[in-house]
Amino acid sequence: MEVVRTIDLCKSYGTGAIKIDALKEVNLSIKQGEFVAVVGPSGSGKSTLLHLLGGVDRPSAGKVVIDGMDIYQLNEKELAIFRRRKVGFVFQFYNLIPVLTAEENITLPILLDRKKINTNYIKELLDILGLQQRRHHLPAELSGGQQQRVSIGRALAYKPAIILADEPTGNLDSKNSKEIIDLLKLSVKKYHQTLIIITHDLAIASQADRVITIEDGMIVQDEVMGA
Amino acid sequence: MNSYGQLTSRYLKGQWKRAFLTVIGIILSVALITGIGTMVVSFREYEINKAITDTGDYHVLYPEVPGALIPKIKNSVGVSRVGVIINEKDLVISKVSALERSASGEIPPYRYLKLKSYDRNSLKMFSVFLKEGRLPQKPGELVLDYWVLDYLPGALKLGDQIKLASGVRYAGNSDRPMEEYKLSSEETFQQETEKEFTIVGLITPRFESSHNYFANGITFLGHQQLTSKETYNVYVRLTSARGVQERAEAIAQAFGLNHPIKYNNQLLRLSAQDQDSSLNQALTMVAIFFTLLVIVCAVAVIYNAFHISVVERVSQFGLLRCVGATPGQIHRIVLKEAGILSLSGIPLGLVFGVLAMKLVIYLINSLGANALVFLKDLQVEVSLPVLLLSSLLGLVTVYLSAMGPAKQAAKISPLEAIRNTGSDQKEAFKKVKQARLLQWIFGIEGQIAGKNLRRKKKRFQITVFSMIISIVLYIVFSYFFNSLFRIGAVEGGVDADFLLSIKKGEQTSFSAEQYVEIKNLPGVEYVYKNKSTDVALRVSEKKVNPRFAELKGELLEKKEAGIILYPAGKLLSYGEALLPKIEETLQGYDLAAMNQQNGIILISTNMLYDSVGKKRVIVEAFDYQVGDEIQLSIQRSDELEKGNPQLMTVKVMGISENTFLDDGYTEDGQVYLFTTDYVYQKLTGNQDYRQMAIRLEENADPEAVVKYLKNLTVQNPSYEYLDISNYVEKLRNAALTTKIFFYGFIAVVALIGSLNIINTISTNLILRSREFAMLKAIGMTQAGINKLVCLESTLYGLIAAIYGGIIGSAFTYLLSKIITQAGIEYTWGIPWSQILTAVLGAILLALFSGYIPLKRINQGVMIEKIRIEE
Repeated sequence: MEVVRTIDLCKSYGTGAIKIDALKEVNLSIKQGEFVAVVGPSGSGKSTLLHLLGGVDRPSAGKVVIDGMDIYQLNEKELAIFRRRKVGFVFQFYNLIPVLTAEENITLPILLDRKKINTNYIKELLDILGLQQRRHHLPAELSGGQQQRVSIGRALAYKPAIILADEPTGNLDSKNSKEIIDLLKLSVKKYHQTLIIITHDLAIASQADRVITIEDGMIVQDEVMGA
Repeated sequence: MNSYGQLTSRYLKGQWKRAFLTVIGIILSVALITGIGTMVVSFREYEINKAITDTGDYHVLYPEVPGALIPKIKNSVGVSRVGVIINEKDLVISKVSALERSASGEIPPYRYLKLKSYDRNSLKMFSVFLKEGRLPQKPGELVLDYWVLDYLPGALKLGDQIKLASGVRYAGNSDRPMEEYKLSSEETFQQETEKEFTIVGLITPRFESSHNYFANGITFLGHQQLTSKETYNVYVRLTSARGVQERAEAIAQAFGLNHPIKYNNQLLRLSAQDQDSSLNQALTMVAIFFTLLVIVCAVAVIYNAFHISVVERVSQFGLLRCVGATPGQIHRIVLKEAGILSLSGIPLGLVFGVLAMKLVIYLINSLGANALVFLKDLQVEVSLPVLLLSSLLGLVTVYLSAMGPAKQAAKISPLEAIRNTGSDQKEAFKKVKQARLLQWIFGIEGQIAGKNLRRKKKRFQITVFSMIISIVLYIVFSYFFNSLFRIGAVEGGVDADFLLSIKKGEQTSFSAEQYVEIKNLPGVEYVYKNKSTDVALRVSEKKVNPRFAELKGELLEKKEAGIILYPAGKLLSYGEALLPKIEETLQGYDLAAMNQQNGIILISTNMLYDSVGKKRVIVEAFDYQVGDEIQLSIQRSDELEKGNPQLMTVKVMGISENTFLDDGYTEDGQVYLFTTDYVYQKLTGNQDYRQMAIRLEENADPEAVVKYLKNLTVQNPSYEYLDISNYVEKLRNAALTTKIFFYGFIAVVALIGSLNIINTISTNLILRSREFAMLKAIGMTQAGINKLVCLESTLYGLIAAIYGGIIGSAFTYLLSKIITQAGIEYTWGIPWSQILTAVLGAILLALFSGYIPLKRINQGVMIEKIRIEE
């Protein structure tokens, strides 16, 4: 079943002589449960694509359809709710709220929805992430790997359909990197989610179901792995 | 945490330093409003009390009201108190002695008691200062000026009975009654009855003169004495001063009172119910002007505090947006933050505002040794309406200020969070021009400082704006109070307690022995010899102020080839008593130079009346500068008419606005030239003086001086003395109190302005400590960082000073126009001294504000600072 689809997706910055086309008419379809790695050199448009898929940027032209819904037809509030419920973001620099504890950071999307927290699920999540002992610590008191695990926890808190990870291991050593990727893979399998990950790490890309290579704002290669 | 709303308190707790700075902003603004409100209310209270003491506690006077109407007026709606006073016929105290009458001048045959009958209410409504005894409580009891006893036969004391002749004074032998208080040697007295009184008290009068022919007496008026045939002066206090004119007229109409109503304008002015509507309007405008200024500043300070706090957290709000917070939710988080902060800031602001006032009064109190004596009637009035108003204003201000940043926060795109690391706020870095000049002078630190200022427009604007506000506030307030002094709103009174003069007779001058004798009396601080000679000045037409020429053209008529012979000059010398003051006023000269080069201090600032514009005008007559020379002649005008005046040249060595002895402006176009005894003698060949002003030491017992003067005047009636000590003391105290209020005001404004500057600059630096750590990490030395921060602070100070100076001056100009509207015109000049103080203060404060953050930056481990997120 198709969960993500882009139609002639374009994004450009600036105007006139200094206009830069970050994405040029990208057409892409991703099925539910797929693990997709996006690779490419710096400045090729990977992150722009990810941001557009997650509803945090606005395209210059084209559409992004998630679960059959054209997300850029939504208003600001609806888009926020979309992000809250459908998408989980994992960033290279964790981006945690510094004044909240690990557990609070994780439950934040649920709280924003004024929903009751499913404590069993959060406990399970903390166990999986290995943060049970650290749940009451502030981000500043956690190591890089732990912080990234918190941000994964946050991305998973709402059991979103899609997880978007922008170089989640870019800041971590190889041991921590492996753990993080394993966690993501485990989660995707367990909750039947779609994972789209930007990475420079070929070892990670090789674990994906599908690798999309972007250069100059265009998909230059799209190969299904293990085929 | 079980709701996202708790994020707010988490933010506040987690980033308490930032929250603290915001709260300080709120406290400052609320304190400013509270402080000023408290000041105004306290001062008004003080002025009302003073007005009541001076003029009586009534609003309206109905003259000549038939006795039958008095109870009806009393029962009218809106009347709170009615006092009845009768001006009784004059009573004779005693005959004026033949010796006394032998001196020249208008001297009446008797000393009179001006008797008034007060009913019980009047005695409460009008202040009577008792020296001894009590007020009259039943008819036939009398209080009178204490010195009258000296003129009554026998050694009278309290409780004694006296009989006095009552009747009418006539002009000469005619049947025309004399005008009140007018003196004539020719007057006659026609006795009608004799009245008997019991003396129950003695009054301290306002003025006392050795030759006072009228004394005050008050007796009791019982209401059973009121008759329907007679008419009375009825003083009415209404329940409130609002709409006094309409209400007073309605009462007059209701009872058919035809005599013109008189209003107690001194009291009504303080309730803005003065009959002079242009003055009211101007006062209201001044009040609105200051209220707006203060509110604008308060809003600005709080807005800045919020703005900084939100701007610095852009990425965090972006992050919230990223994980699915709607704009509405972010909006609510910020507004809730504002709510919590104002709940803690406003009460503290109220407390600080009141405390600041108390502190100011206390400080000034502890500075002046004798301050306690007069400060007893000056109290900090804590008024509930002021507190409520300040809270409300604070709350509205906080919400208004929070709205903008909250909206801005809500609009933040989630992308901004992702693009940044979460620790560094998003900055719209723009390429800024190289600060070549700064680099050239101060090296790389100078260049970075210059770039730092310009790179972030918003933060730069906020910081400079905050400082400008402080500078403008200070300039406008201190200028305003300065103006009030200049326009004579505060009367300092004469710098003397007794005036002794030779009235008439052969003696042309006091002798040196007399001077020494008086000077050495116990309690005397110094004695002025009032020497003055009329002089004509030769003034170039170009030196005449055009506005002055408009008003006093008649004095400028005699001219020849562009040179005016100005008749209204006066050469004065006050003897050695004035030397210290003269020395203070000299601009770059000393007394020796003054004696050598015929130096003078010029006073040409006049207070004139513009009958066309119906306002008082304070204007300088001539535009002389220090160092200019003036030619003058001491010849009388008829000699001058003949031409060829004998001219002497004096040199302007100082300029003063106020005459020294009575601390006021000259009038009628008079131009004073003050000099030393030596120069005076040299120019006029004369050392005569017929008046001495005697100044007592602070709190000295006047007994010895009074005794001496009394003796002197009794033995030789050609001398006259005037005891003005009571009156002058009251004026001095009032002036001092007013000054304390004014300077207290300025002190509070300066204090709050300073805190604002410190807050802004240190916030600016603290929020960038990470950046400074980076600079150190890449090899900038401690000294380099210090230099960088100091340069930045100074630049902020300078830029704010330029804008603040310009804006402040513009406001003072506006203010001077409003004051002119109120009926007093004076020359506006750029308030340089205020600007200078404000600018120096701002720069010093900016430097000082950098100190604490610098210490924090310089201590501690660099890498921690780099890692730390805030």
